[in-house]
Formats: sequence, C-alpha cells, structure tokens
Amino acid sequence: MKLDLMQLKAMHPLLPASTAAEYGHRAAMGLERHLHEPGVSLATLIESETPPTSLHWIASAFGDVDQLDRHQITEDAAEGVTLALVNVALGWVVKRRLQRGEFADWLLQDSEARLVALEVSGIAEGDDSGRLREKLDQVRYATFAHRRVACVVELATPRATVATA
Amino acid sequence: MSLDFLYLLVTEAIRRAETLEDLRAPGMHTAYSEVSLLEEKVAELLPASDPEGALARRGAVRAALAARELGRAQELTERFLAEADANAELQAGLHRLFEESEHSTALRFPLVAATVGMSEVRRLARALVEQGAPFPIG
Repeated sequence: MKLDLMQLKAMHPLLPASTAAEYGHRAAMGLERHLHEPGVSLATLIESETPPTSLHWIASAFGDVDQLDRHQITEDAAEGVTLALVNVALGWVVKRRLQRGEFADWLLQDSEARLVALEVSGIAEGDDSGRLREKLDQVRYATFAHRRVACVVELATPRATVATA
Repeated sequence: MSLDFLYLLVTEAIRRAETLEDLRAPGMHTAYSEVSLLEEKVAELLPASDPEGALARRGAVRAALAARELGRAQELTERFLAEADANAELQAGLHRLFEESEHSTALRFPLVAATVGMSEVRRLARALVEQGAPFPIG
C-alpha cells in the first residue's frame, strides 16, 4: 500500500487545499527530521491487520523546520499520515473538522456513507500504547458517529496504529 | 451555499481559531465568531434530528461561547431548543455547553463564583445587553 502524502487533497476533496498542503509539508518535515526518506516503510496496524505500507513525498530542502514548533509538526505529521492511511486502506473520506470538545478531530464517511469519528495523535518516538488507550477512551464518547476510531502515529519508526473504540 | 462548501469553510475556520487559541492571540475571539456563523449556516441546511445537524447546532453554540458572545450563544440555544425535532440528547448537550462554560469561567474567577455565582453573572450580563445601557442593571 503506497501512501502519497502530497495527494491528500485528491483523497479528501473537502479538505481545504491549504490544509492538505500544510499536512503534507509537515508530515514530510516530521519524517525527514527522523532521517527518513521517501519510500520509507510504515509499520501499520489496522485493528489486527498489518498491511505492508510505504510513505511517499516530494523531498526538498525544508528551510523552515527549525522555525516551527516541534510538537505542532509531530501532530500535523500524524494528521497527514493518518488521513492518507484511512483513505487508502479503508476508503474513508473527510467530511469536516470537529471542534474541541466533540471527542474527535475529524468526521469522515466510509464507503457506505456511514459516519466515522476519528481522533488522531502523534508522538515523536517511543511506546504509543498508552496514548492509543487514552485516545480510544476519548473518542468512544463521540456517539454521533456509527464508528469511533483512534489513530496514533509514531514518527521515529515510523509506525501507525488504528483501532476502534 | 452547499453543505460541501460550508464543510470546507468550517474546517478551515476551526483550524485557524484553534491555532490562534493555542497562541492566545487576540484574534481568537473573532475567529471563533466566524466558526459559529458557519456552523449556524450548516445547521440551517440539516435538521436537528440528523447527527450532523446536531453537531452543527452544538458547534454554533460552542464557538459562540469560545468567542465570548454569550448573548448570541443564548439566543442560538433558545432557537435550537425550540425546534420540534431537537431530541433529548441534543437538548442535554446544549445545556451542558453552558455548564462547562460556567465551570471554566468559575475557575478563572473563583471569588465571583463563590460570592455572586456564575448563573447570576450570566443573568446580569444578559440584562445589560437587553437594556442596551449600563445602568441600572435590571
């Protein structure tokens, strides 16, 4: 499975072009900061499946990496990787961003037009199981959606874990 | 305006408002005001009984509170509560937004909360807005 981080707008037509470009750009920066290159394998766990996955972006000399907040780059990189992953692997498409307090970051729809609430989190490196538990505990309250899902992306490996609450 | 276009705008507006909020930038209230207006427009297109319609109604009120537009938040809430297809979950959710807002304000102003009470502050604020003049408070 090939995830092209530069194609987020094509994957999610309702994602504003500027947001899609920003996520793609910051995902590239976040990954390059950990010395990854385009084509790097993403260790993917979707529920109990582990599909072989690779990440792709257009490498360039990102001059502003030190001007941006590291935490923000990690979070935005996680958003970019997650949105690419759930689209390619599961066929989900963004409907809209949710406000803080709605227990999820994104409202998407699956291939049968059912609502999916998605909570995303990113960590630079280390064990992500605690963060995943925390996010699953949060997103389970998003009862307006048919399905409630959390995804945690760890950039050092890199690794993405998707689970349903 | 189509729902798809409004969703695109609301996504953009929420991200901008949250970025400004994280920076504690003065423009955050204006940005949340914009979010509230867009959520209200979404609510006009979707019934309250639709999960996305309910989300938009909560969103319009939530963002108005974040913009510190208490009068607008109250007016929207009254309008949404009066809708025939507003279910109990939506009604409880709208009331909860005010409780959360009052709770966070009480944490910032503990003395006022302990002496006057936040409900009374809200009542006085509304009276001030409605009478259109500062004194006397009704």
